[in-house]
Amino acid sequence: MITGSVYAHGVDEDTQTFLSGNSGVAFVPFLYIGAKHMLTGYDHLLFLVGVIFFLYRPKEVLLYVSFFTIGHSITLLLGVLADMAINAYLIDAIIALSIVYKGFDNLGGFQRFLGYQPNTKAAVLIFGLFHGFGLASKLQELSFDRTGLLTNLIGFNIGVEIGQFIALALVLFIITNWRRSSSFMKFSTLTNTLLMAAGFLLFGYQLVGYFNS
Amino acid sequence: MAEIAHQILDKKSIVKQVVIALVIGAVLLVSAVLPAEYGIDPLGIGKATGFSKLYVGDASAETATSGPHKVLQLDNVGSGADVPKPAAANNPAPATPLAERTDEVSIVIPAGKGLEYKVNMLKYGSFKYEWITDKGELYFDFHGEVKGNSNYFENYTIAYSNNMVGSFIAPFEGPQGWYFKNNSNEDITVKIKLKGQYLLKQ
Repeated sequence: MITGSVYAHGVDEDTQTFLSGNSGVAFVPFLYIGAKHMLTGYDHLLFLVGVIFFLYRPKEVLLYVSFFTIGHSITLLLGVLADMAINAYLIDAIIALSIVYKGFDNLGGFQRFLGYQPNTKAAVLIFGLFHGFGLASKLQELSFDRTGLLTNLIGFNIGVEIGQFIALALVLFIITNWRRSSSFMKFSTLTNTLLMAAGFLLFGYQLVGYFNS
Repeated sequence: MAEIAHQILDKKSIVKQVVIALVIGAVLLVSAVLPAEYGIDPLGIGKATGFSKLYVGDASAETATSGPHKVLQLDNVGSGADVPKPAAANNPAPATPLAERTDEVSIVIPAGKGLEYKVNMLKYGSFKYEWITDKGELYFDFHGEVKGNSNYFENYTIAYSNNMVGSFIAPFEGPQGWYFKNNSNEDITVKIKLKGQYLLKQ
């Protein structure tokens, strides 16, 4: 654990104390933790910015959320219930790469170099699966009681969706308004380059964490 | 998915943007994030900028612990029934104690190794002590031997800790101090402070 106030993908210390000391059913607290996790996870927010960047139809946005939700719900439930242990650093490194992926995609990288656009829905679904493993490994680190596990897990999962919804609304609001300004197109290359830079940075951060642990 | 109409860059520009992103990411990683988050500072930039100061090693955490400890038992204490207590242990205390002094010393206990730090004391001489590791726990054995007979020893405290303080009165004349064992896979530095009546061992 690194002491500090920022936790990528993590759960902060107070929450951790609660989770470790928790026994039995605690639906609402887990709901809260799930939502908070989603709203304070900057890797997830960056990925959202990348995906939403050029999407404008509400239907498309909704579709994206659904695929992402299906992906991470499957692996979150599977990971915790089947007690699958996957290294959190490696999962977070892959999530960091998803940010690079989306930035590269937005610049037109795949169209130029592959000659076609990889299926965005599939990509979002796959990254959703990885993200779910990340959530699962974070919950597993906190050895909470297995009593009420399923209820708590569902609470956490619903919380994640609520948090995602709020995050999405915020990101969408900002980007939609920004799109009306001429600076959007002017800075779109810069924004996506910075997204990639952030992705590379987080990737390195997680990899070093992995080899350091 | 339908996206709003936007221009995509040509190959050369995309490569350029990826390189720029890599450079920004790498520079921030090496100069700020690694020094601040892990205390890793290969180029010394973190030290120069002060990012290294943000790094707080977690004393109690996983870095230098080595899984569950061996359970310590009463049988681990002392030199054993077959070693008689030397008569010298019952010598009277000297009329004049050693002069008061203060010392501070740092010792590196290499990963997987054990080291001892002792001072010479007279009977009923006393000191206050403090020691702390830079990271993680050490197995330690605070013990003393009767002067001229290292077969017989007393174990005052055997435990696992990263930090210990107390005061101590020597029950007999002879070397007194700590054996530290580092069971982790990283070197651990232990800083010891002493204040009292003793002489540093030569």
